[in-house]
Amino acid sequence: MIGWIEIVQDIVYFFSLYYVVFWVLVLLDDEPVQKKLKGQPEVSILIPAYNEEGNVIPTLKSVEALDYPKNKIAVYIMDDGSTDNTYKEALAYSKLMLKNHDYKRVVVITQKNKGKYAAMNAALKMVDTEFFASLDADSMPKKDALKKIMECFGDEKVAGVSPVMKVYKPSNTLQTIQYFEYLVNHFYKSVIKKLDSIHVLPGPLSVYRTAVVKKLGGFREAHKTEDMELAMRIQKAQYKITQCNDAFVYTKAPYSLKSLYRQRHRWNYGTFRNLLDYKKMIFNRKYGDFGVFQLPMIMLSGLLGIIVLGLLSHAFWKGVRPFFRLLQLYNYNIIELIRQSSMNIIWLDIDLRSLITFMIVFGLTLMIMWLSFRLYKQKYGLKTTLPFIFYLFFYYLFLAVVWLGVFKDYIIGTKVGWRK
Amino acid sequence: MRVFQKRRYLFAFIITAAIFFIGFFFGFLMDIQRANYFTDMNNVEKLNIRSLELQQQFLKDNTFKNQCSAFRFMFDKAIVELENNRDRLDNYNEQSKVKQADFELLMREYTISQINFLSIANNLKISCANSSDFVTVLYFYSDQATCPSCDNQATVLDYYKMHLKQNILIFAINEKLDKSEPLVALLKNVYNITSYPTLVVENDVYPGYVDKNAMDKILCDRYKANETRSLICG
Repeated sequence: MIGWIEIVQDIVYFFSLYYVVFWVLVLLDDEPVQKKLKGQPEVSILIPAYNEEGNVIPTLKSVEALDYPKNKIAVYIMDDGSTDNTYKEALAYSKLMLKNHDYKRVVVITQKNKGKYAAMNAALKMVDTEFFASLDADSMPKKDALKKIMECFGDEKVAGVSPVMKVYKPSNTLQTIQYFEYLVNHFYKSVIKKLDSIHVLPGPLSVYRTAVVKKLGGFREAHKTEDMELAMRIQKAQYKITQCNDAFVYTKAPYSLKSLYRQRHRWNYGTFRNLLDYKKMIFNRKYGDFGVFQLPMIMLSGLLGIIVLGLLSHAFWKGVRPFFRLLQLYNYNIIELIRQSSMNIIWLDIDLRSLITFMIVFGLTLMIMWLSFRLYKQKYGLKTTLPFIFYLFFYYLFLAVVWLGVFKDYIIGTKVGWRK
Repeated sequence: MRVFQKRRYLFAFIITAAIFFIGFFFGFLMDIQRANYFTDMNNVEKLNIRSLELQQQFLKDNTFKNQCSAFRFMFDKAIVELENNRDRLDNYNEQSKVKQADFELLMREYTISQINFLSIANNLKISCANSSDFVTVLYFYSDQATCPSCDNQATVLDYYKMHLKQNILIFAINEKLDKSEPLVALLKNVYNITSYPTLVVENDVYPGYVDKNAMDKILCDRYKANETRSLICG
């Protein structure tokens, strides 16, 4: 009999399948020819920092190591009212940078804590180069990252270029799981860029066309996700955003589940609120695939995640509850329960439809993982099998829990800060 | 104004719908396979019943009196198969999306088989009294909406089936079949079944959920052998 759970299941399955099929079709499209920018224009690198003592110097060192003419780089380090030694460390190292190289400029600014967007705007006022990059103070670009990103600005309509992020030295299971997540995200963005549908320019070394950003009014508070909001505004103004597939930037990923939850809550909450702020773009053909497909799907993905979490919890509960009841009747003597149980399974007991659904989803997931590894120029290491299994089967359930928190906070009106 | 390919959206929809309907098709094939399996099994059950009924006729004759244990062995084997298949049929019926009418018909046939077995069991108590230290339980259940505690009751009965094995014969009757199967309506009427779950233990009616403690008390005095009694009487 078809109950409401089966109907919901079928709807979720249909939408998820449509989403994947659509992206597979996009994947099969030819790669658009990207016009390369000739020469190496001047770039400002803006490094906002809040309590990044110990992180800011490695980041500045990675800037120093960039394979790009130093005299074409201006560095702005904006201390956003840190309560630790971030400012002192940045100031001391900036002097060294100026002493050792012929940078166009190295400036350290400090201000009262106002948030990242305010720090970025403060520096943006001083920027006089055609391009500028934002670089989070816990991120380190590869030597050739900036050079490669700049090449992607060949098309005048390109206003922002995103790098490819990698988790910096993953040292525990959770960080390795995030490593896989970043890997798949990279693949995903490499596909959606074909449709000009990138919706975020992340903090670690995204490069912008200065004139466009200034024309659009700089950065906004935007529910603590200024990078996404600015990308939305760029898309709205009909400029292009692309990803440079071989410009890698290393970023430090949260080490604990609690800090990961906080980070993802902030990101997802900001995404959700920004989507509400730009709701007129959703399903709007004026914005092409970005409006018709990408934005509704972002909105829907959180909701679908929660529904899937609910359905799986229901199925798990339904399957496990009789066993626990039986165990209770056996006074929790599991050995006796197993001894008295008899297995009576025939092949017809297998729910073929669910099995096929699972196999299709699993097969597509493995295909995406394989393509992601190839694009990331990485080989799968056997040592990472356990995090890989966790990533495949549990990580998206964790993200659904995050979305649940996001909707809860939105409904009850909880304020979300950087440390939430 | 950006361009976007309507064709891609449509093509993705067609592919998705195709995969989706392949899934439905497999579900349909599965339903057919399951219905066929039960049609075959049903024929086996009918044959088992005919064979057991015939054997029971022989047992009335003094020449075959000492064959009770052999008969009991066959009876137990057949009843385990019957209960397994009824349980399976119940699950398949729940999962079925297209062959529901067929499954309901099969459910009717299985219910009739169960009642046949119940009748054989009752006769067995007379013809083979010494090798028939078992209790018969008729379990009337309904769907989740009508009977929220039926799942719990089924688990308690599962426990006794696992614990007492051939010393308890449980016949689960879906009360919803009363509209299609007059025998179910008749039994409901005879035992005055108005709420679910209801257990009929050797003709005594126990309406409502019966937990393990209550069930122990109900069953305890009904066994003759000390060995069986010790399993539940503490």
